Amino acid sequence: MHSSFETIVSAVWKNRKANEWVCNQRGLALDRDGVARDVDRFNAQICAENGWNKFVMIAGGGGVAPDPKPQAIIEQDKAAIAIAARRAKKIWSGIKAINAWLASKAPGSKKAEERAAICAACPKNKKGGFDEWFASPALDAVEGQLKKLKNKRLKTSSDKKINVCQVCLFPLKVLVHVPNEDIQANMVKEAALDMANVPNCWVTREKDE
Amino acid sequence: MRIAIIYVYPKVNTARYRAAAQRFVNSYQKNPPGERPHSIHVAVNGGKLVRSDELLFEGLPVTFFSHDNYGKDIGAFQKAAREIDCDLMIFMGSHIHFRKPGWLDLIALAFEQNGPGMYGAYAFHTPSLHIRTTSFWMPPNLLNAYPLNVGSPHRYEFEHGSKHGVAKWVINSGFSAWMLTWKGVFPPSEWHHVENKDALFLDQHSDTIGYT
Repeated sequence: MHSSFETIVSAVWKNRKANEWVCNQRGLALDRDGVARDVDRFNAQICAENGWNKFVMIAGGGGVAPDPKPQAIIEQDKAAIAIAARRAKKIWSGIKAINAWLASKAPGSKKAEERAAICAACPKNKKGGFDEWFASPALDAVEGQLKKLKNKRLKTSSDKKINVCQVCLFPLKVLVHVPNEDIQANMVKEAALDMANVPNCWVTREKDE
Repeated sequence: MRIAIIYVYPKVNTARYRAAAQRFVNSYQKNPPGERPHSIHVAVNGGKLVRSDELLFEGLPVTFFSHDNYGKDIGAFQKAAREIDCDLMIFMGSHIHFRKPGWLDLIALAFEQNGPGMYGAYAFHTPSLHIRTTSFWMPPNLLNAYPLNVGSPHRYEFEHGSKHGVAKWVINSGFSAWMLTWKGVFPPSEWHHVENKDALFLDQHSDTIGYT
């Protein structure tokens, strides 16, 4: 059974705290960050001595190699960040499209009722969908938009059935009122590509009209 | 949105940083951040917190955490990002001071309108694309994903580096980097020299060119 990096750090830290006098004599770190660096250096040293160089990050540029993070964590973060960036781009292209319309004096789309009915029947229409990383600021922005929509007294008969499109990540209750030109002007290619594969999507269809 | 401000308070060269902290506190009180709820976390960097330090920050919504000064201010920021849970973390160096009220509301609004990424008060294209790290902000998870633990010798590379500069890394990861001034929020293609009246915050660099 293999322990995680954090488990090893916790164990070493506990051991050092229980032997404070010895650690002070030998100049060993007693804080958690210091222990984590020691464990990381130890791992990196073993990897380097055995030629497992792909597990050791050597930085250049400044002439000084900073402490490496474990390669597995770097790869994990890289994957998570790529997903988060893609989702953020989609969410904020929707937020910007809606903000652009709300800031203008343009009326809501005459097609809102028809659009909302399509979304209500679409399997991609679900609750939630905002990544945990930025759920709160995105929700704050959408909440503000819903308030403005209420002031405009715009609604459709499908409002109770529509939530967030899991493909474009747009809040549908507001989006169905936004003129297509505002949507297209702000849409990022990541969203457009994914939406092209959704049958019957009005955003894609209206773009081609 | 949960907003945390991290302020670095080094316990080396005490007289200098104590004066800087006093200016931070005074200017914060004179120029309140705005309506947005927030917390301030003071990184006691490289020394022990004493009663007179606590008194220095009295009146501000502060808590203190200690750091061993590894990686200097950036090391403290990385520690804060790992340990403090929030949606947006604003990182402030010791020399930051405020010159106009409502700065936090402006930051929060820009973040809500433009989404996650890296933001800062001063951004540059030379020597390499970078945002000045005397004041920058981003979701803490974004900083946590930066692939290097910044040690003190690596401090310059983190801010200005052509290979490991954090702003470059953020952009290469698929997010954007923005400069925020009282005049607006600007993507990298629109970064420009920040005039005195437009500067969101003042720091040791703006002090040397007479910004007030």
